[in-house]
Amino acid sequence: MAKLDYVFMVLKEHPYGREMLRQLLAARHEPKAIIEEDSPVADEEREKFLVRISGFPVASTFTEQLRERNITRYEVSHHNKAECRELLRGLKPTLGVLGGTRIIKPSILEIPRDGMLNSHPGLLPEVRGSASVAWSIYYDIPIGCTCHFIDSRIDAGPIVGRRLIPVRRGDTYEKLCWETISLAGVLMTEAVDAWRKGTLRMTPKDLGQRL
Amino acid sequence: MEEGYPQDDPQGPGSEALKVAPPEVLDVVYRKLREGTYKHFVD
Repeated sequence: MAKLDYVFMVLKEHPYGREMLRQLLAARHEPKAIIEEDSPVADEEREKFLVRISGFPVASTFTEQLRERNITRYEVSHHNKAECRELLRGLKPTLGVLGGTRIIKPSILEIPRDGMLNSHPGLLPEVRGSASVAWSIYYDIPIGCTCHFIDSRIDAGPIVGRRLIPVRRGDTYEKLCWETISLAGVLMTEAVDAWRKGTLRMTPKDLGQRL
Repeated sequence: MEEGYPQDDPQGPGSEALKVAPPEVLDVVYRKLREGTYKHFVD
């Protein structure tokens, strides 16, 4: 499997990123490297997501997924610190793919020539920020996911994909959170596939105000 | 239970806790799904 010139950035063993990487690898979109952040925030985010999708399957760990694959796995203490910046400058990726990270600062996101893609578990511009499924239900907004390039704003930047999740009576909060994780991986895999083929289409727009 | 973060601290998938969901919001979420009052059911 040929590696693509992108770097996958993720909080350590984050279930969101585990599902996304599973789908990317299944589609033969192998990154040149993975940069994991091992920090108290990574631990907290991982546990938070595991609670949200409790009772539903979680993709294999990165350790398991990368077994027998020749993908370099780096570990940093903070994605926005100099250590990560220098690492990225050395790797010179054309694209960055975020599989669940902290807010990435401009000094990092400007390094990949083609930018960085994020897949947000909510419809943008309607639902920005954390706990998107909960806020969508609370405000009676459709549930879905949005894949977009990131910029210095939060959950903003040109959109490359957006899709709804059908909600049926009897669905639980945990099931819907799990479905957004899965759909986020689908949209990211489609985006990377289009990027690879040179057919990625963006929708530049100001993504509006937070709720 | 959703836990809040300092506003300048990192968050979930590429985003920041513009609004985390406090317990009272989750209570509403569970109730709307259970009682079928969420407005975007497809069935």
